[in-house]
Amino acid sequence: MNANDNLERGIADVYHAEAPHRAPDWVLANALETIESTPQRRVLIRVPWRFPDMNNTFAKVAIAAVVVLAIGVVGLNLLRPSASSGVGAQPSASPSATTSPSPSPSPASSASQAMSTFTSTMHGLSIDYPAGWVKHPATESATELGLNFNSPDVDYLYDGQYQGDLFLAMASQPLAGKAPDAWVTDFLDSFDGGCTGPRVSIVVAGTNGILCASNLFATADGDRGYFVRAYTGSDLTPEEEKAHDETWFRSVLATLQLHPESAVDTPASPAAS
Amino acid sequence: MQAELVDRARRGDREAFSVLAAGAVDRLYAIARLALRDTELAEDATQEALVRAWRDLPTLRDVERFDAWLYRLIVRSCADIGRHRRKWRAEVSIVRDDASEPDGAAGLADRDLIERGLRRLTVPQQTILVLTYYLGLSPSETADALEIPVGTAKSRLHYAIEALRAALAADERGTVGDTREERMA
Repeated sequence: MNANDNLERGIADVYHAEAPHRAPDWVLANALETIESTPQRRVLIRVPWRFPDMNNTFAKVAIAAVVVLAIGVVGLNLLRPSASSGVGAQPSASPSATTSPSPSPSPASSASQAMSTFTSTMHGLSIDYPAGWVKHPATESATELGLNFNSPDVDYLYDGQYQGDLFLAMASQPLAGKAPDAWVTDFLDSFDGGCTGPRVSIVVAGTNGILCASNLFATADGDRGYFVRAYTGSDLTPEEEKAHDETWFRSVLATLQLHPESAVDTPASPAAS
Repeated sequence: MQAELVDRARRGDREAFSVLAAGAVDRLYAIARLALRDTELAEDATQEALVRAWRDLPTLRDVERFDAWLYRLIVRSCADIGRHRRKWRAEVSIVRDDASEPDGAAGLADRDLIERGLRRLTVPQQTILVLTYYLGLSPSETADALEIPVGTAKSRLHYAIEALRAALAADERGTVGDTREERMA
């Protein structure tokens, strides 16, 4: 038995000794009371995980019927213009199966989203963000890069409805003698216990940065290290979450401009160690 | 039996959900208590996970995966609550607790040391340790609960153990230092 095994066994022992056997009764009571007035999320289209109630033959026949129907509808629409108005007919505005999709939120919809530009006087950067979001500029320089929602050393741009569940956060700090690549790596390694998602090199604002876990970007320019974080919490609807995915974040990052020369570094407060 | 309850609850049957919640609440609370190391926050996280479970149950596609899905929800609630309350810089800059008096029993002393070390980890680090060493989940089950790839889960577990090891070493150095100072006095 090696030291690893001993430590792992020790952790398990501590957990089993410490774990409460029962939750206080009121925890369940309160939850059930809240649930009384909580509607369930509606699932408008449930994609079946499998077809538990359909045998294979029935499923195949049903799918074939849908395909035949779709081909028929498309075929009719292709034939209709030439039959009704001959050569040179103007495109018809009549509805057809291929031109009446139901509205569905998608990352593409964010492309047409109205954007505003935020300029950070503290951190020396500017970036576009969805118009209507709330600006919460940093009031202190980032001596340590913390990321609590509303912490004073980070610029926040957030959705007024979701607040701490949908925001962009950004800040910069001096490299303090570190090489740019080392700062970026150290930052990503220390962020929130270490950003463990996939890391991809991307060029943003003329710098070579790293995008980690699809939502955290770090780079360095001049003598400063920068990060931008897109956060989506679990309170978002799946549609909102999809509309603020990596594609959206990259489109926001594409607007990032870095001005390290205009960043402000205020002295650390006496309370800071 | 459970699958039937889940299916009923998924279709809006509150009574069925009450039965499911009563069966899961102690387990969820224990996970939250160990991951957050705070009684009040654990109570909040457990309630939040149960309410989310009710609200989002219609989105659960496979009723057989209800338990795994609940783990995801409690992990998310712990992460959200941990995120709002913590200063993540605390991960590195550790304030040493006052070392408790040794009780003479080596096992208890070790446990006390580990317990203090665990307190110094971040919520994500605590969470992966709880899933692995308290619930005994496999790497793939842990990855599923955390909604991350298996490789990432393995690496996160590795770093959590390393962080604990570093905290233990720092604690031990602190204790030795204190002893020396006491001897000098």
